[in-house]
This record gives sequence, structure tokens and C-alpha cells, in this order.
Amino acid sequence: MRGRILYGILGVVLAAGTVLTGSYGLSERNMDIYKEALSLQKQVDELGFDGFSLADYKVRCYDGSYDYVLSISNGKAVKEKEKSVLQAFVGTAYEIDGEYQVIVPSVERFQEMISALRFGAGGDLTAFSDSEYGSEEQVATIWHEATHAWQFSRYEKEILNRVKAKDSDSRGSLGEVIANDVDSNPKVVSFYEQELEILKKAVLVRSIDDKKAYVLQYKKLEEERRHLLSEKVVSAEEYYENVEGMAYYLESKVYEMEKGTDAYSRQYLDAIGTYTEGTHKYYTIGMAKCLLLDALQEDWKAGFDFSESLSELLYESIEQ
Amino acid sequence: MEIMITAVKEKVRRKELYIIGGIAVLLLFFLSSGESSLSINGKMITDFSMMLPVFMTIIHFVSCMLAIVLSIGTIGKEYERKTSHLIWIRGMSQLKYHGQLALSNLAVSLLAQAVFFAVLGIFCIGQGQTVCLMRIVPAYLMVGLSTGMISLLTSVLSIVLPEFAVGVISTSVLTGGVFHGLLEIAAGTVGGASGKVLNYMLSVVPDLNGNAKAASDFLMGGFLSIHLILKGLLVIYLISWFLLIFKKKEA
Repeated sequence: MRGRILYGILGVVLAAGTVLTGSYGLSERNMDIYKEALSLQKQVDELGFDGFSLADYKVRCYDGSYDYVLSISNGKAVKEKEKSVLQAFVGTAYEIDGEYQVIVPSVERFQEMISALRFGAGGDLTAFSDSEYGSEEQVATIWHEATHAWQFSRYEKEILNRVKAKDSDSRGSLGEVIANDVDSNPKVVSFYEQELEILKKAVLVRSIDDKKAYVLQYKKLEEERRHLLSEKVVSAEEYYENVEGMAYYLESKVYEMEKGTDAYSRQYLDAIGTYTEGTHKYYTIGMAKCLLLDALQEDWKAGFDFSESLSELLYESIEQ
Repeated sequence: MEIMITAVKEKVRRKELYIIGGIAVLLLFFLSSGESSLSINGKMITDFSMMLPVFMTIIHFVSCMLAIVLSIGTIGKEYERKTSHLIWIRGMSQLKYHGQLALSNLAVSLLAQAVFFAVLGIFCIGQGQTVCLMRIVPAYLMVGLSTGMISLLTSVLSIVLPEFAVGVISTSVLTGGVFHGLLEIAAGTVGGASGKVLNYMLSVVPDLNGNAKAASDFLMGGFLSIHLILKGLLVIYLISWFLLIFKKKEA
């Protein structure tokens, strides 16, 4: 009997120890990441996006149970626990009560996702699928999704007007369009492979004249490829390039601020020449076009309102 | 403890541990030769820091599977052979008898795991990772929590259920535990009612993968989580209570 009582006490001790040593709610690390992201505002302002402030958009960190809403109140970063809006591990900008908010998994959950999906289908998940995901990567992700919040808060009509897919407000159906009409067409894929090789050369070469020459080559290939595709598909591609490409560009710049130029080159620039199935290639292509515009038309962001594509703007810049 | 020691000696004499030894030698050959080509999204993994978590996952899973194999028939066979009557004659309680048999299962499972960790240690030496070698014992104990949970669960279930049912349940718990993180992500990605159902199911399955991850993080220089250790011990403790609750009718 005495033995059972002692054994019972052992259980109580183990249970109490387990409860007391556990961490609950959103970890402080996520708040630190949010504050770090906010601290980059001045450097992001130098990139030239008009009226884009991270503090304007609430950031919801989903830990698997609740959304922890991070925002600025009276000049201080605050955290509020709310019922989860999407109840899913996604990174996105989502309209809630008339305003766009950023939704991301907590950094711990994101790390688990990367780790869990590392050996399989992580292709379209994130740029970080096959590398380590830490605080710096989460900062970059927050800025990526905040870019979408900014894009859709200001330019939703212009963005959606250009999309001619079946369900214009469904990114899922746009993804299907890409899979059916682009990735499954060997001729289109072949064009892409040539285009991406030239695009990478254009980005990496230093001479402005060489950049313009490569862009001209790229333009010819792109036009030939697009003759093989319907207007619906071309508009889907442009949607991803414009919207995701621009967000990916900003994400890459934030990543460079956090981790330095070498890491940025390995993570983002090295991938430009590689064709991948799915929609992620447009992130890279759009980012590359933004980088080229930075070199060829420094003030391109001022007044860019999504009424034209990055391609159109890029080709205008080489004619000047 | 006599029964436990006798049961351990019997298992060591039998072929299972030689099979385990053979698997361990094959694993060592696989790890150290150029054949161990792993890839992530098409990129080959050659860096030790990326290989280690993979190997730890493999060792963890194989150790737990072997714990099921080594534990599943022990108690049932004692009753089949009627050797249990020799125990009741001596006035030993079922709790003590089943407890010692369960402990023997646990001991042999941990011994099998030790063989794999010895292989891992040799691999670390071969890779020049002596820091890992210094930390291998705590990492072994961390993974031992998973092995212990699965072994003990199999032992207690085998008191009241036939072998096939025990195998199915233990393997399901193992699979759920090893893929706990992935299944949580799936539940979170799917969302809605399906996600909630999956989450409820996962709430009763221990996160075994967490132990493997903690062990590989520790080997790479990280810290062991006291919370995970206490949680693992708590799960083992709770399972152990079924040694008292489950009884064999023959006794």
C-alpha cells in the first residue's frame, strides 16, 4: 500500500513538472520576430514602395489552436489571442472586417512544416523548403505576406481586372490553369528553360547595356512562348508574376537585410535559372523582373498600380 | 527481479537480437558507404548536420518497431506455456509478474536500441564528429523514452488482447507518434471539421517524433528539453498503471 501511495505521488510530481515546464500560447520569439520585422521599415522604405508600412497591417500568428494578433497600439507592439480565422497553416493576406491582415504560422509551426515536408512535396510551399527556417526567414515571410496586404488594400480592382481565368478571385483555379496548360506542354517548358537562362544572365550581369540586350532576347522568347498559350493562361502567369513576384522581391530584399548578400544570392538569385513546375517559378521570374527594373528604371515603383504587367514596364524601360 | 532477468536471458539467447545485430551492421555499412545517398527536393544531402536527423529518425523508428516485435508475445507465451501456474503457486501477484515481464521487454528493447546507437557512434567517429560522441548517452536515453513507451504499451495490451490486435494498435500508435508533426501540419492545413477530428486523435498519441528530433538537436549541440523528458516519463508512468488494471482471467 505504501508503495502504491509513493508511486501515486511520483505521478503527481511528473504531471506537475510536465505542466510547469511546458510553454503555452505564442512564444515570445514570435513577438521578437514581429518587432524585428517592424524595425526594418526604414530600410524597406528605401526600396521605394509608396505608402507601404508594415505597422498598418495586423499580423496573425497561428499556432495550431488560436490566432495571436500582433499589432501596434499606442506605439507599442501588442499581442491578442483570438479565435483562429482560417484554422490552417498558411501564409497569406486575408480580408477580415474590411481590412487586410497578414496570416502566418508561428515560427515553431513553420519550422515543423519545413521539417516535415522536407522529404517530399515541399516544392510550392515556400522558398525555404530545403534550407533551415529560422527567425530571419520568418521576418522575410511576414514582409512577403504584408506586401500582399498592401497590394490588395490599394490595388485589388486593378489586379483582378487583369485576370481572365475562369474564377478570377480563386488562386486555386489559377494554379490549375498553370498546371494544365503550362507545365504539361513540353514546347512551353522548353521556351521557359531558355528564358530563365537568359533572365538569370540579365540579372547577374553588371553592364546596363548587356542587361538591356538580354532583356530584349528574353522579350522575343516570351512573345513566342505566349503565342502557344491562351489569353487566360497568359493573364494567370502575369497575375503570379506581378503579385507574387513583387512580394518575393521584397521578401528577398528583407532576407538580404537579415542574412547578408551571400546568403541572399544562394537563396534567391541562384534559383532564377531553374525551371520548376507549379506557380513558384513566377515568384522567381517576377522577382527577377523587379531586380531588372531597379537597374533600368530606378523609380519604377512610384506610380506602379498594377494596371500594367511587370513585363510591359520592363520592356518600356529598355526602349527609353 | 528474478523473472525479469530470466526473461531477458531467454530473449538474448533467441534469434531476435542476432537479427537486430545484422540489421545494425547493414545500417553501418549503409551509412558509411557512398550508397547512403539521400536527397531533399532533388538535392543530395551530404552535410553531417542534415544527415544526422535523417539517421536519427530511422534509428528511432526501427528501435520502436523492434520494441513491438520484442514485447508482443512475451506475456501471452507465458500463459500459453502455462508457466504462469508456477508463479501463482509462489503467491506472486499478477502486477509483480506482469511488471517484471514488461520490464524484461523494456530492457531488451533498450538493448536493441543500444546496438543501433553503437552504430551511430561509430558513424560519428568516422565523420570526425567527436562532440556528438560525447553527447550520445543522453540522446540514447531521449530516444529510449519512445522505445519505452511503445514497449510498455505493447506489454500491457498483450495482457488482455491477442497478438494481432496488439500489433495493430501498437503499430498505429507508433505511426501516429512518429508522424505526429506531419499529421498536425496536415490537420492544420486541411482545417475545418476533418482537421479537428485529426487533432483530437493526435491528442491521445504521444509525439514520438519530438523525442527523435530532440535527440538529434542535442547531438548537434542543442539543449535537451526538460518538458519533453518529463512528458515522456509521464506517458510511461500512465501506461504502467494498466499493469494494475489489466488482469488475466486464468489467474
